[in-house]
Amino acid sequence: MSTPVLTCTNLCKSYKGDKMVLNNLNCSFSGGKIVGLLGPNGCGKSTLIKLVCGILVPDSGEIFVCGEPRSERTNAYISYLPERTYCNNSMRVDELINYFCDFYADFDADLARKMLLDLNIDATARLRTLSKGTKEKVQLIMVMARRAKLYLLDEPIAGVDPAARDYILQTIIGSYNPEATVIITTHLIHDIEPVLDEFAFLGNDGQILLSGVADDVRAEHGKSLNELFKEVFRCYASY
Amino acid sequence: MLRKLLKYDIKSVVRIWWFVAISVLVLSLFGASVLRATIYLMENHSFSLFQLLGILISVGCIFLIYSSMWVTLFLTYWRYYKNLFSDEGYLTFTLPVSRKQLLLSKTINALIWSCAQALLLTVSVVIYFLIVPEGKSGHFFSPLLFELIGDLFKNMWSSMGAWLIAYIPQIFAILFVATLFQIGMIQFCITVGSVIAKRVRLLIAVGVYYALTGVLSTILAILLRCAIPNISEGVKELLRYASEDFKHLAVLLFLILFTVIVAALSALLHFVTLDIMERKLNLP
Repeated sequence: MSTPVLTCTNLCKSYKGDKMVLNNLNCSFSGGKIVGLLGPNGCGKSTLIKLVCGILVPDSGEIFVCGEPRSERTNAYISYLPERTYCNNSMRVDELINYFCDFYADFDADLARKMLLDLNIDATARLRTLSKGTKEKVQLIMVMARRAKLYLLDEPIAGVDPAARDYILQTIIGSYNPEATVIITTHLIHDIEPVLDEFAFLGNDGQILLSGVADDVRAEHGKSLNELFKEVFRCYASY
Repeated sequence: MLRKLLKYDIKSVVRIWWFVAISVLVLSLFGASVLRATIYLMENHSFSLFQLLGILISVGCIFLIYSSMWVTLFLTYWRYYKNLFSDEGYLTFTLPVSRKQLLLSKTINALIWSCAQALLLTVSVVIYFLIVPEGKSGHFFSPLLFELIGDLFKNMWSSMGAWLIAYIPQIFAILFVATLFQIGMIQFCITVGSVIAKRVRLLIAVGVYYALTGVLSTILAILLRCAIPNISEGVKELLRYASEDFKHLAVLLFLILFTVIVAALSALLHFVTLDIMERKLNLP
């Protein structure tokens, strides 16, 4: 059996004075899958992704990326799209491409330029002159133009118009490394459902509540993932 | 990777700094010329509004030139804050580089811009000294500054002898470690402010800076009042019958000790900042 791309064991994280966001979370994701990490607001989806990227430090537990304990070395395997715009606004788009080229050996500058062209984004424009939605598209292009082993996409379609949503989802399916794992968090389950291979529902107790293959949900339960999500979290909310 | 980090850090400051540098040079030339004209008017004519205006412009230029130091300081540390603790941190901290390299790059960047600013102010002072005093025997530029520097070195050589060769690099070493200490302090305060607060992070950082400066100056004041007079009396007594060479050696050793202490404090600040970044990072 091949090494899982991402493994979390007994992962705990709490914020100062707040409840435990992740409580002994155990999960493992193998390669070549698009996984939807789904759950209600505040259940810890973004926290889990930030822990994997090293933006947050766990209280306890271990994270392994491609079999290696999380470190700056494993950052080279991860392509991360946060829910906020993280680019230096004084840069031009082509400077951003050079920046990614400099730091990531797996960055495909030609693919990035092609995607910019597809979305009619001027590569000479300064980022500060672009709208929020366009900046998000630029970021997604930078992230998907890498040949990474693990893509972590935190709300990738939340800020863009419905027309661009389709392009983004097609970009995700079409441009990711087939051996890699893509983990997507979103509230717009209906929109991403067609591209998902697997799903994991993260509950408010900071643990995986339910996980499985997206097609099996449809075959076994006769429901869409969106419907199952509503059913699970409606019951969950009544506890 | 450190070289690449440094390249982008320098680029982001130079984008605005070249404008500051050109402004300082233009202001120096303009301010010095106005001051020279004003002095000429004051020596040869009775008081007029032009003279008052000249004085005001000269003072304004000197003030603006001095302010460039704060602009450089702001540019350097704003970059530090923005790149690490604002939304940009989501990219910076997910690069395949260690936190050690990130902090080292910021420290070298701050050091480079401190040196560049010092050089810029030196050039500005040279311009003033060249233009403001009247040149000799019909020349426009004055050699006054070079004469003063020559006299200073002559006097120092006559009192210190060959020890001057040892003192000069030591003075530069003190300036170097003092700059490193200042950089370490500011980086430490911004990091602490950003980690402990969710909002008004920079305001908290300023508060931490003043609190830390207060503590350090209190310790220094206690040392100056209590310990140092007693120690210096003892040292004076010891050196009373010592040769001149031995006295210079003692002073030099004291300066080296001071440099080592400041360097150790700078290193301590650097490693504490690194530790906070590694263990307590908490981006908004």
